[in-house]
Amino acid sequence: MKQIRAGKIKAVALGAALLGSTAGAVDLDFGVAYRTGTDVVGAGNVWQQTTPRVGVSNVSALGGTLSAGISNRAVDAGYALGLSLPPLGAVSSRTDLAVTWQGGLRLSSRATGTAGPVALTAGASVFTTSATAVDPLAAWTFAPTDLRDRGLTGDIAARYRVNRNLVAVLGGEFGAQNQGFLGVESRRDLTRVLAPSEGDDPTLEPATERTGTLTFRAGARAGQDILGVTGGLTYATEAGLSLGLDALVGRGQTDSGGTGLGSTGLTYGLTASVTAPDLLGEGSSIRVYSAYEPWRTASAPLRVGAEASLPLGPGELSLDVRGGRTLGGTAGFGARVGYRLPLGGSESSGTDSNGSDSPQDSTP
Amino acid sequence: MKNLLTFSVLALAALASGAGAQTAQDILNRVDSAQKSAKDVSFRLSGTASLESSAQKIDLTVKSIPAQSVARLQFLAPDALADNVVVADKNEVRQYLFLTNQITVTPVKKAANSAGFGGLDFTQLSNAATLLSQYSVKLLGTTGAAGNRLFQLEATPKGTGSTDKARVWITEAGWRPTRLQLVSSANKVLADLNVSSYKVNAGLTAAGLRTLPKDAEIIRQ
Repeated sequence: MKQIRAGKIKAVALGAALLGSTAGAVDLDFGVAYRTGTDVVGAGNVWQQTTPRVGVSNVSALGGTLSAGISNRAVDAGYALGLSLPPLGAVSSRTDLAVTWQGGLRLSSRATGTAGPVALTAGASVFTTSATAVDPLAAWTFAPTDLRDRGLTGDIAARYRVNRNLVAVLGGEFGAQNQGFLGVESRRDLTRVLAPSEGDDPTLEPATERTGTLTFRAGARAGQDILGVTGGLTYATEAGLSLGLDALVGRGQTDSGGTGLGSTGLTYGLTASVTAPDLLGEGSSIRVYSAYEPWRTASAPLRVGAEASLPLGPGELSLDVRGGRTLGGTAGFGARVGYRLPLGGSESSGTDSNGSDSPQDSTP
Repeated sequence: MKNLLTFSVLALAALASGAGAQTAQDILNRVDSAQKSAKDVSFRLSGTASLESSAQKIDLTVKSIPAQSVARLQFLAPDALADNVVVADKNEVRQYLFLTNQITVTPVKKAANSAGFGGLDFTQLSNAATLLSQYSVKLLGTTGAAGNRLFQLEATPKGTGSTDKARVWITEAGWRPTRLQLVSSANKVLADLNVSSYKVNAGLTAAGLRTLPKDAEIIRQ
C-alpha cells in the first residue's frame, strides 16, 4: 500500500518535473476551510460551509512558476514570472484565474518593478463572482477585499526613495470606490556601533549594526466617499518582531452599525498587526491583525484574524482563523488548516538538499 | 554596478589562490595560505564609484563562509540601495529590496543566466580560485618597509574583450586587501574603494548570513 502511494507521489513529481524545463521544487498543497455565516451559499449545510482544496504550486514551467488547485467551489490556476537583477532591483508579476463550479470567473493580475530608488506596483482584476465564492475566508483578510459580486478593479502605487530614510508614496485604487493617496514614510534606525578591527582607517565612520527600526507614516486619502488624513507607525526588531498601527480620520461613510445604512459624516479607520517569527519554533511565524474601516464601501468594515505557520515533518503546516462583520452587519468567522508538502528538488534555503530523506524516496 | 560587484568579488578573490604572473602569484599564494584557516571572512567596502558620470558614494559589507559557499552583500550606500541585501549559496540567490520589503528568490541556474551580475557568476563569490582564473594578474608596484609592505596588483579579465582593469592593494601585514580600484581603458578611475573592518574567523554562521527580514514578502522566480 505504502509502495503504491510512494509510486503515485513519484508519478506526480515526475509529471511536474516534465512540465518544467528545469526540475525544481514542487509543492503539494492541502487545505480545508470552514466558515460560519448566514450569507454563505447553502448555509446550514456542512458540506457547503466546508471547502477542501488540493493543489500544486511552485511548478517551474514556461519560464516562470505555475500553480493550480481544485476545491469543491472552484478550480484555480496561477502563473508567476519574474526577473531579479541584484542588487539593483527586480521585476515580478503574477496572474491568477479561478472559475467556480457555478461558472463565475475571477481573473487578477499584478506586477511590481523595483529599480534603485523607484518601485512601481500595478494590479487589475475582473470578476463575475464574489471573492468569497472562491475563498470562503476572503472577506476577512488584513488587506481589504472588494466583496462585490461582479466588477472591475485596478490599483497603482509608486514608491520613491527620496533619501535613505524617507520614502514618498503616491497611488490610487479604482473600481468600487475610486480614490487616491499620497504620503511619506520616514524611518529611524535603532543601531549599535560595532567594534572596529585592527589596522582600520580611524577617519572612517565606524560600522554599525541595526537592532531595530521605527517607521512613521503620514499622508492623505481622497476620493469617492472619503477624504481623510492618515498616520501610522511600525516598530520592527531585527529578530523579526513587527508591530504596526495605522489610522485614518476624515469624512466618509460611517459605521452602519449593522443596519446596512451607513451615513456620511466624520469617520475613522484603524488597522493594527503584530508579526512574530519563531514563537512556535524555528521557522514558524504568527501574525495577528485587526482592521476597522467603516469608510470602505465595498469591503468588510471589521476584519480580525490570526495566521500561523510552522514547519512540520517535511512540509509546513498553516492555520488561519479569521472573522469579522460584513457591510450588511452580518458577523461570521472561519478557519483554515493547510499543509504544504515539498516534493523533490528542494531548493529551500536554510536547509541542505534533503534528497536522501524526502518522502518519495522512502521504501517500506 | 557590475563593476562594483566585480570589485567585491575581487576582494574575496584576492584572499585566495589565483593564476597570473609569477610575482603576483607569490603574493596571491601568501594571501591564500594566510586565508587557508579562515572559516569565515567579512569586510566593509567603502568609497566612491562613477555611475553615469556622477560620483556616487558606495558602502557595503561582504560576509562569506567559503567552505559552505554562502556569501552576503549588504548595502549601506548609495541611498537608493541602502539596506538591500543579496545572499547567494549553492542553490539560490536571495535579494532583499528595502523599498518594497520584498525578497526575490532566484535559483542559481536562472540567476547565472540573467543579466543581473553582467554574466558574473555570483555564486563563485566564494570560489576565488575559479574566479581568478578568469583574470590575468600582475604586480604593479611595492611600497613600504619590509614586514609592512603594500603590494599593488592589477587584474585584467581574460578573453572578454574588456579592457577595464581592477587594482588591488595587498598588505603584507596580515596578507589581506586594503584597497580596490576599477580603472577604465582610458585610465579613468571608475571606482575607488577601501577595505575596512576586515575580520576572519569571527564565528559567522551560514544561518546568520542568510538572515533576511522575516516580515518581507517572498517572491520565487
